[in-house]
Amino acid sequence: MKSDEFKRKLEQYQQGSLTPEEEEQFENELEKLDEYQNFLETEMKIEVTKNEYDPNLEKRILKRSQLFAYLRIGLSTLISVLLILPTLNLFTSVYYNAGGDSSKMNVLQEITETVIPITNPNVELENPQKTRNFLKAKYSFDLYKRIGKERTFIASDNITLVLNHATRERRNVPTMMSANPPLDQKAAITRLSKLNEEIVVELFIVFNEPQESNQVDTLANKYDMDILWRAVKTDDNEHEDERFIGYPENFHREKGATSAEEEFKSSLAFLSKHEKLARSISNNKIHSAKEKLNYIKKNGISIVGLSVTGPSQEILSFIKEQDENISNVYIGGEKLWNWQTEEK
Amino acid sequence: MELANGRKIKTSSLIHWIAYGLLIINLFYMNLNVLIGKPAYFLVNISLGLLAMLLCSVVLYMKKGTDSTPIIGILLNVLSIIIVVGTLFFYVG
Repeated sequence: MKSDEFKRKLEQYQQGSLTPEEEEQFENELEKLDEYQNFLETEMKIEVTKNEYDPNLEKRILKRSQLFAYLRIGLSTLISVLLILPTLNLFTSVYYNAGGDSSKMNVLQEITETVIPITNPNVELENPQKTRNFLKAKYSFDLYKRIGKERTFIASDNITLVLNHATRERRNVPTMMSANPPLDQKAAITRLSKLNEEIVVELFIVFNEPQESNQVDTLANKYDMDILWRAVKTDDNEHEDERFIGYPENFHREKGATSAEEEFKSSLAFLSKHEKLARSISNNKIHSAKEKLNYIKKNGISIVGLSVTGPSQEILSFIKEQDENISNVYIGGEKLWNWQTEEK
Repeated sequence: MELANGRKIKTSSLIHWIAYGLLIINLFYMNLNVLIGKPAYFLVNISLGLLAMLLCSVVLYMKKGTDSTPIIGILLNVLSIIIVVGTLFFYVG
């Protein structure tokens, strides 16, 4: 029934102007409306009940939300903490290894491989290993020396680089000069003459006066022995024998230079660019590399000391021949015969 | 999916938790790499990172962009893969 029709019939019903038939039909209609009304009231009651305030429900919701918030914060913290170490490790890698040949790690390696042979007579660097720990780079290596024709292990050493600061683990390499007392020429002759002729030795000879490199070669070539290292005069000051710097006999062969002297000069030029690192790695033996280089360029290369190895009796003859030209002799290690004479 | 206590759990939430779980496991392995000093688990790292990224993308699709956490998850996994590959690239030794 439409709204207008309903209104009209309601007025007629109230006035009593409806026919009995229409009256009955309209009353049925009103009953239907009562039922609708009852249904709606029931539904509304349920809805009102649902919307009623429930403190327990609120507590439960709050507790669950709190738990989720704690869980999220905990997970975020855990993830952030776990990311710190790998991220810093990546930055460490980039800092020390990026840049190819000029990376900090490679420069450290090059300086070390230059400094060790220059500052230590008859010491060779072997088994180099580059490792990178957390926030620092480490360059480890073994040191060997030659006695006769055999190479002998001296020590393991490593250099740690933290940012631009290098620290060497070993403050002092046990070389001939650091591990043995200096002997004068007579004492050295006495000691060497008591050695069996089947013994090979290594020793370091300090000259009274600087010698020309060719002059040293001429002297040494007369004897069946090998020159291992030459100490070079790099300034006019007197200093301890232990602080000599020089170059190994095969210095140029390893690096592809024309001669060991030229390689020594280019090494000093290289070290002058990395003075701070060179000083730390050499335990202060290399300082003012540029001044030393200028001195050599001005005065030429003069040999002030010599590291040699060979049969004890050959070396004894060499020392005897030098008359008063020797100020100190350091006798290093000795070994049983391992000498094979090479054609010179 | 319905749990034993009658509460319902959404599939997208479950995948989300799995993705974050994988991310955390991956980060533990990455820390292990740093502690032992070599990227020994880099394949595990990359696999877990990619898998977690995939799961986060699925969650992102299922939730139709209503939640930002899957995007954060994807970014964290991308970061972890960059760290692993970067460290491997500059690894010496």
